[in-house]
Amino acid sequence: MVDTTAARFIPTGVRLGADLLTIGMSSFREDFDGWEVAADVDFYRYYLVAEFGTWSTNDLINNGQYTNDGTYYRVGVDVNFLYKDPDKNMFFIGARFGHSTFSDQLTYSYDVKQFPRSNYDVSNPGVTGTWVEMTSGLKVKIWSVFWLGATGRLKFGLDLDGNGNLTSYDVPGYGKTFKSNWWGFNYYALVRIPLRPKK
Amino acid sequence: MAAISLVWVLSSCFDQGECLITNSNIIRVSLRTKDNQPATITFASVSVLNDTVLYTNKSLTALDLPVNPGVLEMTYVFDYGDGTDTLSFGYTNQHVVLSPSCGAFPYQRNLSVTGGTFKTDSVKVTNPSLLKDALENVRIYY
Repeated sequence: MVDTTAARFIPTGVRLGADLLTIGMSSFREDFDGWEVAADVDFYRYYLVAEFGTWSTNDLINNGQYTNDGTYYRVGVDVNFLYKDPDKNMFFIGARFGHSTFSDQLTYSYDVKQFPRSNYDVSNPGVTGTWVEMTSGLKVKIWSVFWLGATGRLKFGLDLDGNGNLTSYDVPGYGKTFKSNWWGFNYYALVRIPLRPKK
Repeated sequence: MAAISLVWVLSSCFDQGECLITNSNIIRVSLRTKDNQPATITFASVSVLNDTVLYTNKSLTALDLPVNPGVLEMTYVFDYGDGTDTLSFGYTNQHVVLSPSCGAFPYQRNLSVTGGTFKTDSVKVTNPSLLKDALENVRIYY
């Protein structure tokens, strides 16, 4: 039976978790270090979502090295299309606003005809990036309070503030800047903390 | 269909970017008459001050002046045989990583005239960015 009372908008639980893919990338890739945590809370079929992470890359390029280091968060709403499911399993579509604060540095050498090779060491001490995401995915109860969730995200509309003579190549939480949109993917392990007894 | 979608998604995730190099360290100069018609000027030589000779005994309507990305000002000497002019340009470098395999490049921007013997209204910067597809950056009026 569908709940039509205003009480259905009172949250029933909070889910907290961590992104396993980011942890895996940190463990197995030498050019990436970071982690991401996520939380959501339900308001009937709508879920308020917040994600926070750290991200640092060390990209070796053929004439030098690019590094960055920063944090990011995303906030948004998911709409659950399985809202009648008694276990609150989710197939959702949603949206996020992304925000990143980071510094980056580029060291490289470059030569042109007629002139000697030059070495460059340039940096941006404080860059802010914002973007928008469309999301979709699943969150499934595995056992008791333990859940797994997969989120796919299409990121676009990147806007950078604070770039000086270095054009940022990689934005924490977003990815490389040379494309106008990116796909992202997260695989979360979550714990659900009930806020009120299940009816 | 699903497999194609997956390949597309994964290729997007690991896209390394294209190696489309558009920077140029060349100032493209057009030589013009006062009434803005192409002018042919005979040079005994055109050179970078105290450095490379770029042209010798040439009659030209346009010049390509290379800039050194390692410095932010260049001075060129125009020797006409019976006199000389000098012209100095300033610029900034914008550093861009194209991809790991392609590397990083300095793009010269904000080109401006910073000195020389030409009258102020004899030299005009028409495009302050040095790019491969730029047809002209500077006009010199004789």
